[in-house]
Amino acid sequence: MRLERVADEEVLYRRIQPIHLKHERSKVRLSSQAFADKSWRPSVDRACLIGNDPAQARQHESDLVVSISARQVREIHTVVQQNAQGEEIQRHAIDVEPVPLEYNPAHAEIFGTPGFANKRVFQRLLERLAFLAHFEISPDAQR
Amino acid sequence: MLLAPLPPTPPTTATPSMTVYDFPRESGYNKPELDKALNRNFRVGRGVPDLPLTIERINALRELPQGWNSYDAAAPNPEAISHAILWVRQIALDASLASLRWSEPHVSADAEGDVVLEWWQGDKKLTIYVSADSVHFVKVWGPNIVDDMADGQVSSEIKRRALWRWLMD
Repeated sequence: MRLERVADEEVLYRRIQPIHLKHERSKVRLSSQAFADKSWRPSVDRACLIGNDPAQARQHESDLVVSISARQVREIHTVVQQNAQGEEIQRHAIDVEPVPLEYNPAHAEIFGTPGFANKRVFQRLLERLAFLAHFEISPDAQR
Repeated sequence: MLLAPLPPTPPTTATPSMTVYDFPRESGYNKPELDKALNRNFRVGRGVPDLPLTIERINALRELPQGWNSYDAAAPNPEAISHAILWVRQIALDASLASLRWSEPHVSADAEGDVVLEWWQGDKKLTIYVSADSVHFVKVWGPNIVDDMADGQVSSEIKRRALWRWLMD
């Protein structure tokens, strides 16, 4: 597998914290803040580069892990920036690219093209990412 | 044992700028009676929101350090936390005054230190971002980011009430 591009079929892991979970009677909801990022480029780990082992994406024992595929990320192609009147002024494509770090070669980032002009557009993306993600290491698995 | 009688209480006169609360004198501070009085005054009745828990959860954000999400999240802003406590009390009161059901929000923080409140109600989701000096919302009612989401600033009481009505209708 080529490392320069994240292939559509790749699985991406994201560490989350227990505070990102809303426990209900029959289900667990994932907060939109699971993918929050100060630079509006959420970090993920490419599963294929860490042995497809979600535990390798954790930094601490208490970390939980969710996943999303690169294809799902790229299919979010309708993030729209609107003006105060609700008129569409910008449409963003969503993509993921490798950003290997010295201590984490599997590191990649989800981003918008063109870049987000304000936080509100990114907040819509967060809702969608949380909706699409599913658990790899859930609270139940930790017990 | 006999107790000496209390001296007579001077009569109280209410001035236009003074509010007199009619608490039962014989019991002094009586919390159940006080709660009943508050419930009557604010018409919250049996659906009293469990705000102590919500506020405890918001206050707990003060303990989160920088990088709490194991990435680069800022520590929650104390001013945003104080603002969120005020704001959630207001929307809870809106709900009770409109005889709408109240439910506790999920409490977390975003990467920039704002407080985030989230509610799921059927197919609808409401996310509120509370910063030190403003409040923004994202409404979600389906999977499509363009057609099934809306966002904006909660810049007035009317907008705040409309959000709760939208969520609970």
